[in-house]
This record gives sequence, structure tokens and C-alpha cells, in this order.
Amino acid sequence: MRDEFIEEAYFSGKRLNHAAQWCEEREGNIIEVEVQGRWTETGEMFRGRGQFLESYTSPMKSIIVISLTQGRRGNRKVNPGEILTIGTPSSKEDIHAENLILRNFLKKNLSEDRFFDGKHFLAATTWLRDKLKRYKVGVKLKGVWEKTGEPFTAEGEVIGVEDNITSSHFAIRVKSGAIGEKPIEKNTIVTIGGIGRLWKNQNDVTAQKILFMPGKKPIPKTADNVVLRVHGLTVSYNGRPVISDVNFELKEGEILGIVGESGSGKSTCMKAIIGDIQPDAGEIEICGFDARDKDNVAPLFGYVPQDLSRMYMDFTPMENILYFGKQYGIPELDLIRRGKQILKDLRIFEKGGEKVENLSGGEKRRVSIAIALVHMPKILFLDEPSSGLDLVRRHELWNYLDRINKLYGTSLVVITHYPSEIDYCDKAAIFVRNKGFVDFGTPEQLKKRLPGKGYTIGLVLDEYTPEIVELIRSVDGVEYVLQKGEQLKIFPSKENTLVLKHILDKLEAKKITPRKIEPKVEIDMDDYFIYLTGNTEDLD
Amino acid sequence: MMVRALSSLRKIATPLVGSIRRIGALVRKELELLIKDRVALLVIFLLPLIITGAMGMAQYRVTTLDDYYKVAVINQDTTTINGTSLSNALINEMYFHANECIIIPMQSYDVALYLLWQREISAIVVIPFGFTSQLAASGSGLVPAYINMTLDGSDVEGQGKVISGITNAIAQLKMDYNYTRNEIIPETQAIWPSNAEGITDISITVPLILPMLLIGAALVLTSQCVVGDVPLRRMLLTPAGKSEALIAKTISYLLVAMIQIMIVLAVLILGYQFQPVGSLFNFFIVLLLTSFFGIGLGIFISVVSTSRLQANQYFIFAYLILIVILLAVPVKAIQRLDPLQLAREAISGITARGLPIVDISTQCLYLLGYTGFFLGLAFVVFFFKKGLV
Repeated sequence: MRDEFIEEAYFSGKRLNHAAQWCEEREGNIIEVEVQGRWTETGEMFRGRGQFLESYTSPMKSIIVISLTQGRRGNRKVNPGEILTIGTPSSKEDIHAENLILRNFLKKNLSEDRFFDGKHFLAATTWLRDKLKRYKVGVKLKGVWEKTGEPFTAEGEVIGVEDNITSSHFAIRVKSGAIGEKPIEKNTIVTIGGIGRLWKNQNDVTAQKILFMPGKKPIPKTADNVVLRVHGLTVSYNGRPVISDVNFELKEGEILGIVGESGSGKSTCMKAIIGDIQPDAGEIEICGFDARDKDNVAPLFGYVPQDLSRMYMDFTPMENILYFGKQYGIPELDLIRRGKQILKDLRIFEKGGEKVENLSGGEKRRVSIAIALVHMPKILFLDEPSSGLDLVRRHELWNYLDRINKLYGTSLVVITHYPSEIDYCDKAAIFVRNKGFVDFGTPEQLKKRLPGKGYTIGLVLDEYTPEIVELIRSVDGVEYVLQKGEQLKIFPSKENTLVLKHILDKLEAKKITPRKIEPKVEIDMDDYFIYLTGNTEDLD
Repeated sequence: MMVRALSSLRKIATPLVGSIRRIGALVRKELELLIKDRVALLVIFLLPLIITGAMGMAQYRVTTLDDYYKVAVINQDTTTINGTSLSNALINEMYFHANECIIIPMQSYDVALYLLWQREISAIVVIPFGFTSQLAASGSGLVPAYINMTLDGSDVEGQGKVISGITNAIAQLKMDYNYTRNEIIPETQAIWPSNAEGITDISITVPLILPMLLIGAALVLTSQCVVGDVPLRRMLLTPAGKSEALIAKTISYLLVAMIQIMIVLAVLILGYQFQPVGSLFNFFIVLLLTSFFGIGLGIFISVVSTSRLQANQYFIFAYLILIVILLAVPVKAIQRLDPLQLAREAISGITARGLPIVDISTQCLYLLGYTGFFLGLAFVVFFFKKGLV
């Protein structure tokens, strides 16, 4: 985590309001707070760091709340996971900040955890009521035990909430905790109330700090972090095999390009993975689940179809996000919050209220991506997103895809028929018409599997005739000759310099002198693909 | 034990709650889509207003079927030809050839009218004085002989039976006495029984036009609801299932149908002072069943179609078949199976005759059966439909 941060800012304790504002501007990102100051209660020195949870700013005071990852007060270690409030040197918060370093990581905070100050208890219960309809909610709590006035800390699970004008409180089943120094018995039920101005709290505890942790269904992690595994996939259409024995895998956070000509089976492969067509043979696993297990698999992937009409044109981007997102059982408030964030990240937030049909093609594409992202999938499948775009727009699109990959940690599977786009990917699966799936690997691995191991011999001649090209082809050690503009790219099956010598000898015999000779020209993915479409049998 | 039972109950209930939530969200989406679709709004709101308005101007004579109908026959003819009374001969023919009619000779037209008013009888046939002499004279090309028929205008089923029975009897009489042209002409008029007080002309058109309107509107709205919902294919990659999507569509369009029916009822009641003889609630239920059939058929069409154009063609084809069977197929056994006819019978049963829902249960069950059949087929076809993405 430490190596990935993209932004760092320093603030003195007196400028805590600026620090809080800095965090608010980067809302939704993972922000690390490193703080040096004093432990208010004892006046001891404190140094530590933690993850930013919440900030409150007002003209009078500012507070930053963190979940501690590591810290020391004096010589003692402070328990990781503790919720601490950081205030200015004159405040009564847990820590008086003297110096703060804030780091913004290029990652979205996908956690649904939510912190509430005891003073905002009504907001807490309103939020909780909505969450409890769908999730189990864990809680970490600090407050005061009303009977004795002792400090109360606990961790547990929320078992109910009452939220109306006359009464607002919730109950928890304690897993661990203490009243003063005395531990609380496990499974004790405790009612929690807030710091009320208008009423007296009649519950067991008056909350001061509350961290709710909605328990979503955990996604199983495979041992090798593989999120997509395709093994022996075979699909036939009307008895004719379209693709056979497709094998590849994708790890978490990687980008896979599926490249091929039209009709080579790349879309068939994707349709089989997402369950739209039934394969004849093979295994497909998404995050360890069999792809046919729709209940478990559907929330794990998002799909961006090539056809932009596959979203509701009469709806706004936000309405589309809502209606698609609701199918995943995500509460409306969360969908709105996430939707706004994603639209901001894809730079179409200002278009969130316009009808989709009024947006440009590029904006529609980004809306389509936003729809597929709203449930925070592990893998995002994109079917030819760059099809029909000019070079500049394609580059722009890939920048957005790269941004999604980095911000959300989402693995991407992108179908394209532009081989050059493989350079944006970590891995590529290659499909060729009439041959189906032919190869898989990183761009470097793929190139190295060709004769010349990623390099060709480059020749520029004054004139090109079919006879000259045929002459070069006939040279011992020449595997393939590719004419690309002025340049001939020669794929050698033996050592480059040796083959070059043979070629030059032959040309000299015909009294042809090349204008330019390059013994080692690195091939690009276009060269790779052109070679491949005619020479798949020769691959390693 | 109790805890285990609760735990297993929770295991069953959790996915169900999730499914209901998803359906709820889909219903909301469907309704919002309809609200934003101008053409759909036109069909939902404007079409019923226009057609219901137009119904007020329509005049229509309704004829339909039933089993046995009591016909009071009043013979005022005392004339004879060669000692033979042709009016008595006609009554005799009625006894034998007016199928599905029970002939009751009566003396007083006023008593007969009272009985018709009270729904004790279905029709009154009056053979006027001079019938026999007129008929004898008409053989030489003079004015034909008339008989007068008064029918129960609210009993659309019975009118056809009575007219057909009496016409049969007339045909037999003409055959027996060698009349070959239109020597006997029955004149008909319809009256409304006492408990149908306040019924206006629109009451006659309601049972015919409303099913056409409601089924047509439902078909227009639903026949493209799956094939035209391109983003639905993407939606099906979320946890939303195919059956949930179809259930949500059905519920949404039923809600829309309710609104549509309420608009129609409001126009009928406020604009034309229309009052059904039977319960307004039963009337509403029958209209909803009619719309539901349109929704079921529309969703089925939408699922089996592979393009919007094909859905349009299927919709027009299906709608035409329903109308042709109703209006142009003379075979009553087939006509009686037409959902438009079933809806018409059920609606007239409530609006004109005040029948309780039990008495029109056959029609209602048929309508529900058709709806279930088409919806069931739609679910099966949609379930096996491949390659949605």
C-alpha cells in the first residue's frame, strides 16, 4: 500500500480544517492519515497512522476520524482498529494533532463502513435502518455507561433499531467490550442511545463514536488470486465448432485483451463466460465459482455491451444506474452515492441528469461503463468498446479503462479487433478466423513466441517487386516477410545477423543494395497479428 | 427444533424476498419507461378517450345466442281464407319449427309487454288483424303481410334465437302454402326491461367496442415489450431472472390496464351517465380480465418475435383474427370461443342484465384460461430463448 500513493500533503495541527477539507475533496478514495501529536487524556506523545473515516468541519472546529492501523502513545502500543478523533491542539478530541501527513491512494475505498459521531445519532439510526433491511451490521462503539458514568467500549452486532421522532436507539449483541476496566459478558444485549439535546437518553449507553460495518457476503479468494479461469472451453454453433479448447486465466487487477478478427470467436468466448450461451465442454470459474452458478456469479462481474442501445435511452445516466443497480439488491441511497462517485470518476457527473439519448457516443459509452460498475464487480467485461472510434478517442477510452482498473481494482476483460490495443493490457488471448483460439500470454511472451523472438530484420529497398520479395522469402532462415509501408520486416527462424548476411548476399548477387538495414527491429502487436493470421501452425 | 424451523424458513424466504425486491424494481422501471414514452401515453390515455367518445355516437343492433327463450304470441287475426286461418297455421309452425323457443299463446299485448319488462319472457310476436287475408292477397303481388316482434334489447343472446326461430316457422308456412317470395315480413323492435332503466344507446355499443378497445390497447402496448426492450438483455446478466422480468412486465401492464379501465369508466359514467345494471366492481373485474387477455397475448407475441417488425405483424394478424371470428364467422360454436365474444357476453351480462359474476363465470374462466395459456407459453419460450446478449 505504501508504494502506491499518488498524492501526499502536509498540514500542521493548527491547519486541521484545511486537512479535513483536503480529505473531503477526495471523498471515496482510500486516504491514509499519519499523525503526530499528544494523547489528550494523558498528555503523552502520540505517533501513528490510520485510515481516514470521516471529517467534520465547522467555523468553530474541525475533526478528522481515523481507524488506527498502528500507533504508540508514550512507550505503549495502541490497539490497531481503534477509532480515534483528531482535533486541533486546543480541542478535547482523542488526539491533539501537531503535524499531519495525508496520503491519497489511487484506489477507491470500496468498504461500506460508516462512522457517526454520537452527536449525529439520528443520522446514524436512519442510515442503520436502511442497511439492516439487507445486511447484518457489525459495530464498534465508544460511549458512556449511563448507570455509572464509566467509559464503555464494545464490538458486536446490531440486532435492531428504532428510529422515529419520539425515540431513536439501537440494540447490539456484544462480542467483546468493557465498562470501565470490567469486561462485558459475551452476547450481552445493550441498548444504545445518542447525545440528545431535547431528550434524556434512557438507554444503557450514550454513544460518542460509532463505526458501523455492514457485513456483505464475502467474495472467496482463490489461492493464486485468479478471478477468471477458462479451461478447455469449446463452443459449437449448429454442430460446427466456433471455438475449441480455449485456456486462459486472469488475476485480480489485471487487464486481459481478447483480440481477433471478426468471426474469429472472441465474442462467442465472452458470451460463454458470462453465461449467455451454453458451452459444449470446458470449465469456467469466476472468483472460484462455476460460471453457471448465476446467484453467486452475477454480482461478481459487470458487462458493457458493444451496442450502446442496451441501456434505457429515455432515462438519465443516474436512473439507468439505479434501475440496473437495484437488481443487485443495493439500497437506493447507496446506489445514488456510488453512482455519483463513478460518474465523477468517469467525468460525466455533470451529464448525470440529462437523458442518455442526448449524450455523445463517448459519453454514452462511459455511462454504459458506469452502469456495469455500480455493483463494484470484480471483473468488468467490455465487448469491443473501441469499435468505430478514431485513434484519439480510442486512446481516451483506454485511459478511462486504465483509470477504472487502478481506482477500483477491477479486473478488465476487453474484446477488441485492434491488435495494437493489446499494449494497454497485461495479458492477451488471441483468436484467428477459422482457427479460433490460438494463443495466450503477456504481450512480451506472445511476441517472443514468434520466430525472431520479438525481433525482425528491417530492410528498406529502393524498389519492391514480387520477385525481390520472393527472393528474400527463399533465403534459408527466413520465416515470413511482412511489407509494412517502405519497410520489409523479415521474421527469421535463425539468429538475426546470420539470416541478414544470407539475405544481403542474395540481394548483392542481384545487384540490389538496400537503402536502410536494421538487424533488430522490435515487432509490435500489429506485426504479431499479421504474422499470426497466416502462420498459426508454426507457433511454439 | 423451533430455531431449526425458523432457520430453514429464512433460507426459503431470503431468495424470495430478493426476488420480490427485484420484481418491484423492474415494475417501477417499466412504469417509468411507459411514462416517458409518448406513444405509450397516447395509447394509455388518449385512445380510450377517443374510442369511448366515439362509442356514444355509434348505434348498433346486437344479436347473440342462448338456449330456450319464451315467446309470447298474440294472435289478433280473425280473417280466414277458404275457412283456413293462416295465422293459426303460423303459430302451429312456430310450435314445431321455432327451435329453442317456447311458444306461449297470449291474449293481451299489455300483459305480454309487462312480462317482457319483468324479464319473464324474451319476446312478443303479434300477428295483426287481417294477416290471413293480406297474405292471400300478397300472392297476387300486392302489399306483403307483416308480423310484429318485440324483443328484449338487453338480452343480446336471445334476440338472434327468437328471430331465427320465428323466421324458420315463417319459412315452413310459406313452403306449406306455396309462397315463394317475401310475402311475410317480420318487423322487429327492441325494448329494455324494467331493471335496465336509464340505459342509453351507449349501453348497446359498450359490450362490443370495449373488448376490442381494451384487447387492442393491451396488444399495442405489450406486443413489443420484450423484443423491443433491448436493455432487458443486459438486465438479464444481473441477478434478475427471466421469469422475474416477465412477471414484472405483466404486473406493470396490469397496473396500466387498471388506469386505462378507470379512464374508460370515468368517461362512460361522467360523460354518458352510463350505469351498468349489475355491479360496477364486477364490470371492472370483467374489463380487467379482458385487458389481461390482451396482455398475455401481447407478451407471448413479444417473446416469440425476433424483431419489432415481426412483432407488429403478429399483433395485427392476431387482432384481425379475433375481429374476423367475432364479426364474420357465421359458425356460432367457433364464434363463442373468440375472446372478444367471451368478453362481450360477460360485459353485456353485467351491464345490461345485471348478472352476478357467478353467472358469467364460464366466460371469465375461458378468458383467464386463454391468458394463462399464452402467458405460460411465453414463459416457456422465453426460458429456452438463447443468445440474448
